[in-house]
Amino acid sequence: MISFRKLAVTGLAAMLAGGLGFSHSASADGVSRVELLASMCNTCHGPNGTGVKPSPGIAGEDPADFLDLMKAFASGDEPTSIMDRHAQGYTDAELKMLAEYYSKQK
Amino acid sequence: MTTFDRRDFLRVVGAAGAVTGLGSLMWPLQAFAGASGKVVVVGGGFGGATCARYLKRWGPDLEVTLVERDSSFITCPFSNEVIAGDLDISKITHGYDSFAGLGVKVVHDEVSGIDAGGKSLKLKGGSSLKYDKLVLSPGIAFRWGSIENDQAATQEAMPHAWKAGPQTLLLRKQLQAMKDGGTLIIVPPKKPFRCPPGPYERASLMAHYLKTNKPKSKILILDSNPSHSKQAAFHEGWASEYGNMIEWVKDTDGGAISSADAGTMTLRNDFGDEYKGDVINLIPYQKAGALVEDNGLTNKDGWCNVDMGTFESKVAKDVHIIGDACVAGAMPKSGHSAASQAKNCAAAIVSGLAGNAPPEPTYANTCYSLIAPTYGISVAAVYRLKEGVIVKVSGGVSKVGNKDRVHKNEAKYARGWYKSITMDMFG
Repeated sequence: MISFRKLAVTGLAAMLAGGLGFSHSASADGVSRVELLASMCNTCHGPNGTGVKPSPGIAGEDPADFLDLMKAFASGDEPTSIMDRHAQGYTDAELKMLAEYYSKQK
Repeated sequence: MTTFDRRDFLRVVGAAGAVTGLGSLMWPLQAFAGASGKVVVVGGGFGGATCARYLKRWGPDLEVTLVERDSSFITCPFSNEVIAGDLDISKITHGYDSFAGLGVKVVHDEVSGIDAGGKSLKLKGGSSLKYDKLVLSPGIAFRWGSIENDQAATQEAMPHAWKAGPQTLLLRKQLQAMKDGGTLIIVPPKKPFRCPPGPYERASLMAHYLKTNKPKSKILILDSNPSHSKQAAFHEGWASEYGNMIEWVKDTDGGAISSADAGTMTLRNDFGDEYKGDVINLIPYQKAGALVEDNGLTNKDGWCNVDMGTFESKVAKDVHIIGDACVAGAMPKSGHSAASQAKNCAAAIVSGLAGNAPPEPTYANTCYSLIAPTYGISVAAVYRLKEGVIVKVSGGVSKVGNKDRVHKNEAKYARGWYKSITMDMFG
């Protein structure tokens, strides 16, 4: 979702600039929304979500499992000491974004 | 978010136009090289250390300098365990060695003055630093004298231990020297103050020490406030763990202390009540750190007004203020809040220097408190920016009536939180 806009910006720029390759400029957009969102999770779940015992790791999770668990925390279906209070703060779209993001972290 | 708006289009066309207009390769490379520039961060605590690290993570080409007075940082979180004798202070002491490897330059010095117009600051060591963006994370200062005779000179007899370090060890020593059957008094400051649940966690862990070592002793909390953080959860835990060892006296019940006498170890309120303590933990009223006050960046209440999305000061352009010192809507003054603000601030700076709008802000806070080493409670929340103000969108305090298993887990995750957040700051 975030990369779409980045690609559009970079792609159009490259096109207008006469096809010069600016593929190295993927970070030119600044900080993506999902990077900032994930940085909130990483405070407890370790760098890139890799976990710092006894805080569980969330990197490399299957995106469907991640989403399912977060929604179950938010609804109260999954017992938790604290994750219900966090999960309820994010929209479904944001949770999906995070699920995709963490599936690619390791 | 997937739409390609007009601002993006103009920006891209503008950049591309520069190529065709100038016929030079330098222009587009510069325009798309990501954020560049000089950022100076002052204060290497939860706000500043996190900010420096994330500036470099998100803007690898930025020149980031971290100015910090001390050679190491002792965290306030878990300092109550040090006071209670459960933890050595070395376990909550962190060095700045990892920053060089990230490409962040660390300067151990103090700021003597900020020239916001000239975008530079002077250091006490004699050098000066130029910046494109300045981030200040100065923490708190004490409002000596809010309670009569509460002054810097009183802190030896009645330690505050509200900035972790020698004061933490002093209070620990006094607690250990107290006789069985003694009275320990904790005086929380009037709100707002750093770490709202801190005084009550401190009472809990001191009670844990006293229950084992000096069971005839008593803890009196003389509060200038009508209520306190995580109140119901604390009071439930105190009753189950410590019986009636801890007594909390709210402001209107005589808790509002108006004067202190270090010579006789006595506290008084406006009703004329006197309280004598064998150990007194007098935590002074608070305001933003001296750095921001001295440079005219505080409001009439002693705190800093900022744009709550970017944390840029309302009175000085390109100067951002994060952590305990700033006014941040519904967020409490905690280390976790400061780190969360630091990340939003870093994102805004990196995006701004890359010529783009910052991502939509998002904030979180988690504060664990230990009622006993294996009994934890927490407050956790997610925040959003609404009409310029940070508001809470989810969260709350651990429920009253939770099972022992939950208390045990919260104590376990409190330690996990500490390891993780300090790794996020110091590597």
